Amino acid sequence: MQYFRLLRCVLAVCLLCVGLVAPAWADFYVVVQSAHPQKSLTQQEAVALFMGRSRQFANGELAIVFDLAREAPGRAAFYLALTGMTPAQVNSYWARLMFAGQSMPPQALPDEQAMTNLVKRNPNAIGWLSKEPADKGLRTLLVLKETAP
Amino acid sequence: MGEFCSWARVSVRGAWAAALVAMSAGASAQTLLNADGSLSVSGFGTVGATHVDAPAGWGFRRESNQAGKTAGWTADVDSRAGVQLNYAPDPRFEWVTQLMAVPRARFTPDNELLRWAFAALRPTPQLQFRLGRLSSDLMLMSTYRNVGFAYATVRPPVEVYGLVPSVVDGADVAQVWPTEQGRWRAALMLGQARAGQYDAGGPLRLRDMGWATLSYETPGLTVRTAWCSGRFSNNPQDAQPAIDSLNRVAALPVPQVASEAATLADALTTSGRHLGYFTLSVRHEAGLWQVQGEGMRVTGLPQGRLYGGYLQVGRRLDEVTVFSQVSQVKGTAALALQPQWQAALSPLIGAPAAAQAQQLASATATGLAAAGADQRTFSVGAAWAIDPKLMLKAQWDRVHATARGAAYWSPRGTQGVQANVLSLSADFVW
Repeated sequence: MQYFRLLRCVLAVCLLCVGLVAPAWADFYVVVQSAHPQKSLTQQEAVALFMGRSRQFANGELAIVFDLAREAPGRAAFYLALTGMTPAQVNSYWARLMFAGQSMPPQALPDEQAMTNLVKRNPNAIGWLSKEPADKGLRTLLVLKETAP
Repeated sequence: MGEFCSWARVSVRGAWAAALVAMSAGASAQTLLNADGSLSVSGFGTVGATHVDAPAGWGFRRESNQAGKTAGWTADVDSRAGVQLNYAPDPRFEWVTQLMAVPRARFTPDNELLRWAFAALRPTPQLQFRLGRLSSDLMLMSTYRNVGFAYATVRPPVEVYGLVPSVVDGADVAQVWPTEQGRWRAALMLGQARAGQYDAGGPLRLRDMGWATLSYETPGLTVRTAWCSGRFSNNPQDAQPAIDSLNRVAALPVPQVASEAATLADALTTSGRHLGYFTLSVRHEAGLWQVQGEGMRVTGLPQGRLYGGYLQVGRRLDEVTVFSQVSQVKGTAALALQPQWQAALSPLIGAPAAAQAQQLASATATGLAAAGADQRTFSVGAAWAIDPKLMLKAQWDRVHATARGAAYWSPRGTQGVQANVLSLSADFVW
């Protein structure tokens, strides 16, 4: 009996250790203004918007996509979760479009506060955040789970 | 013209230096120049070294508007640097200007430094009009073929991209239809372009060009077909004296000689020829694998009807992509005349003039025979994304062109060629 109790304690400690060293998987939130008519977004639709294949929401309204700066924490993980592409692959993809004169990457904002402020003000804007938006002026259309690199 | 070549080389060095400074300063792609983000500047470049192991007198090149490079190491085949300015004061309007410095051939027009300069109007999110100097999406990589960072190989396959027109002046309209899985895109373009051998005959002008492309794109799949038609409005500059002389011989009352002279003159003449291009392209990315292939059919060239294509398979291993590629082009007609005019013409125009005519006929026939297209290349290589903005590449090409199929080489011999081309490059964006 004591043996089983000891085993349970060891297992509990092991699980605790695993919990401590395991990566904390983050979520990413694709957001629009809270008054926006669109209620949700599929991952495919989000890929089309953030990768320049589409310039419109489901209702046909113009979508203006905003990104966080290249150096922003979580940006590489966001694109990996969204598209499965590494930062170099994302840049290579955009190089094909922008230097062909077809499409430009989303305009980059300096930080998440700037993203929150801009999306709240602009009814056509769509962006992403690494924390669930607490601001009532924003609506989350899609939650992305971080994936292993 | 030599001074211009030197100037272009200096421009390339300057652009590399600017790019390296920008990269080392931490500048990211698409640097914003004003507060509202409507004006941005970005750039790309390649520092390349190519070793050509070919018989003496054969010059390797990646496009027909380059001067070929003979044996040894050279930086001129793949090195280039570009800078692009985008001004978009409104989501519905954009102005794009791109300048690119590249080692140039003798007859390269000065204004080819300007790659794109166009205004784009998007009245709806799905509809776009453009006017100015445009990128032409005739083939999968033709719009970004100078941006090495955008693909894994050192250069697009020479057999398929070597003759694609470099710049197009005109207007186009494109419409997109989103679907559940991806999107359809159709584009129509009208304008004029330039193509041809810039190191020898100067650019050939293509007038009355019409262009249509239809593509279907999903995140992992791109399928595209394109059709293009145009009319050459001039002859190669260096061929004009020969054409004139052959036409004079064709007017002589010696039927056999006149007929052969007319055939030779016609083979050298491009003015009035109607160019036709048809292409089919597929790219598929599935997990770590990527497969890409294109086929083309070209009509109206002096080399006859051309059929070309390539197949490329790549696999990603973390940040390294290894690839293998096979490409081939074959023309249906390489002129095979062996004119013997001297004896027939001597009584009519005298021995010295007949000897000159014979010399012209032999040289023209020999040159035309070698100027056909019959070439294939096997390539293997790797691209390492060492940084999100920098890619290092290595590629080995085994090239084989037959005696009647060396149109892609300049200068070229008459016996065919088997060559090894080793290429190293650093491709970056900023």
